[in-house]
Formats: sequence, structure tokens, C-alpha cells
Amino acid sequence: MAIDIEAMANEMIFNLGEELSDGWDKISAFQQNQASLIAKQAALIAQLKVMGNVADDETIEFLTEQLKDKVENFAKVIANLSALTLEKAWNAAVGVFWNAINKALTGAGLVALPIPDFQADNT
Amino acid sequence: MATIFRIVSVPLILFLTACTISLAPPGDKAFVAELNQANQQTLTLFSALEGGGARDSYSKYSKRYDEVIGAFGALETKARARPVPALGQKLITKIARRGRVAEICAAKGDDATGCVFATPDIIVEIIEDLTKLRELHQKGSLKPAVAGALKGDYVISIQQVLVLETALLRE
Repeated sequence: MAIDIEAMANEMIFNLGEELSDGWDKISAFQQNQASLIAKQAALIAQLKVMGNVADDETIEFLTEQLKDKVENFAKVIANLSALTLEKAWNAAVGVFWNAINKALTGAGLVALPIPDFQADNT
Repeated sequence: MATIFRIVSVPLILFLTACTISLAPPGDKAFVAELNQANQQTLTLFSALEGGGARDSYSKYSKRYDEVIGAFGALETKARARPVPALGQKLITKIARRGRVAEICAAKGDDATGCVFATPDIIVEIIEDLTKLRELHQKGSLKPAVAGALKGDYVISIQQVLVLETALLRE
């Protein structure tokens, strides 16, 4: 069976788009949730400071420092999720490529090949 | 033009897409289950402390603090033992040399691991929140508003780690 390169390229591009769009939706929902929680927390710390006698300076400083670290971790999670989206999109496209190759191989009575994992040789 | 594009792009696509890649660590279902369990225990503890924590009530809670802090400590150790893919690390290290990303991802020298796998750093934050909660309770200065603020801190981190770990399962 011959491989239809153009159809395969189109399918790969379609899969890339689908995965990237799905990944972006998830990142966007997470980003909105976190932004809201972080804003509420900042307001809460400000309120504690204004109340004066509820928390000592050390506790206020601790909470402020923690909030800063949480914002940094939030950015790290966004980086993690972006890398995962890229990985999923890439692998979906690779899946199309190997599917076409294996269809051609099995169509000719040959054994299908497993998809090689680049990472396996690089960890 | 279209023909030239096809001549160049098709072999390039075939070459580039020869292998699958891993840019983030593998997911771990057992880890997610333990994380959910520790979260449930912690939220129950926060709920019991909504009215604050007086010094004389500390002994009643001491074991519960040890359990939740210990559970997250064990999860941090497990997370740190998970392999981080070299390709993801290389990619992030390259990106991390630039601008604002560099300040966050490469905060500790050239180590950009946090931006490939943030779970250990997030769990450290959780442990710090719970340790502070215990310390204030022990001192008798855990007022309701402070317990609420520490819960707010905790919720930000637990949401981060749950979203990330669920995504790592790649389901």
C-alpha cells in the first residue's frame, strides 16, 4: 500500500492543532483559577496587616514570602504544562506518521514497527 | 513555490517526526492517590482549626500535624526520585537563559529542573505552610484569620500540584 504523503502531512498538522488547542484550554482554565486564588490571598494578607493585632510582623512576612514563592511555582507549572502540551502534540503527529508506515508494511505482509522513543536514548 | 515547499518540507517532516519525545517526567497514579489522601487529611485539619488554635488544645492535634507533614515529606522524597527527561531539561535550560523566565526557572544557579518538574518545589511550600501552622498553634498564636490565611496559601499550592500531577498521567 502506498503512503499518501500529502494526506498524512495534513492529518499530522490537524492533530498538532487539536492537541495544542486542547492543551491551551487546560492551561488557560488553570491560569484563571490560580490568578483568582493568588489575588484573594494578597487581599487577605493586606487585611491581616490592617487588622494589626491578629498576626505579628514575622507571620505577615512569612505569608508574603510564601505568596511570592507560590507565584513563582505557578509560573513553573505553566512551563511544565506547556512542555506537556508540546509533547502530546508532537507525539500525536508522530503517531500519524508511524501509522501510515505500518499500514504500508502490514499491507505488504510485513511486521509493523514500534514507534521509537527519542527520550529512551537520552536520559 | 508550492513545489519547492513540498520538496523541502515533506522530507523535513518525515525526518523530524521519526520518534516520540518525552519533555516531562512520567505520571504516577499511586502518587496522585497518596496526594489526594494527604489533601483530604489536611483539609480536615484546617476545617477543625477554623476557629483558631489555643495553646492548650495543641496536644490534641499534635499527632495530626505529624501525620500530614510526614505524608507530604514522603511525597516530596518520592517526587525527587522521579526521573526528569534529559530532552525536557535541555529545552527548558535553553529557554531559561532569557529574561523573566530565567529569574523563575533558573533561580538556583543553572538548574532549571523546577520548570521541567515543579512538584518537589510545590510540596516544599506545602510543608512550610503546615509547619508554620503547627508552630503558631504550639505558641498559642493561631488566630482564626491566620489559620484562614495559611489555608489560602495551602490551597494555592495543592491546586498547582494536583493539576500538574494529573496532567503528567497523560490520560
